[in-house]
Amino acid sequence: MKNKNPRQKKLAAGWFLGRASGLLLVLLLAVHFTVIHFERGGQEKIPGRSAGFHGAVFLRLSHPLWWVFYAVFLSAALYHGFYGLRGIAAEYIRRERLLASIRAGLLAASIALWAAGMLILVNSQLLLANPPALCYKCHARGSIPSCRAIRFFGFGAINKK
Amino acid sequence: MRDRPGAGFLAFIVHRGTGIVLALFILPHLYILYFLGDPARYEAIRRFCSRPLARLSEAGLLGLVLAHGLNGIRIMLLEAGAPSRIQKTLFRAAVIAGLLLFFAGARLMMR
Repeated sequence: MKNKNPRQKKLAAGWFLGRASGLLLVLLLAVHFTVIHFERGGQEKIPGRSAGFHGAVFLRLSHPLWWVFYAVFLSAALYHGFYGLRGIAAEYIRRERLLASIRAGLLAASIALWAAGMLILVNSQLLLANPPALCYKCHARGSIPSCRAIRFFGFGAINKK
Repeated sequence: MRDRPGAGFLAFIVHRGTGIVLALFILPHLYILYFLGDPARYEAIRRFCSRPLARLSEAGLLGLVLAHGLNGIRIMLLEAGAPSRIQKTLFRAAVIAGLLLFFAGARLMMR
């Protein structure tokens, strides 16, 4: 349909983004599950040899592509999830003012969660740039980049005293 | 005589239910990731998550993701012009693909 009014255009754009983010999430979740959950059962049989291990998460986040991957993942998941919740609310709530309040609340919650997620990602970069003086894994003084290979390949136990 | 709920209705209920749970799951997931800034606490949480019951719930999460994702693909295909007469076939295909992927994935997760 041509010559849509601005409201229709906004609705169509929202719908399209909902579908596009859903399709994107299928791909991103496939990567996420393969890397985090399927690798050695997502858990470590050998200490430190899990993709979910703190050092391994940091190793990935030190790569710009992984950082972008997680930023896009966070944005797509929040948009898709909250767009869906917004649609469900619209189906069941008939009182317009209540619906407007719920929509505003969902928008605020999604923005807050996005900000929290981005803060985690930014913080990870700050930690990589300024690592704690005492390494939590090998308890040797040094930077995270200097010993992250050790952590990734899993030599030594976690919280080794 | 009451009609039996069809595949379309079942798919709708599954899609909606899994969607709500997955959307709400973002909050605890981000809460755990917040502890990335505190390696000792993050590792403590991860050790807790390595318990069998937690791993089983992780497999459950895979089930929710597969149910929602495959059903979403089915909806998109129908919206993109796939004939509505094949919607039951698409539903069955999604169920079969979902079960296969779930058991393969859960097996890897429970190793």
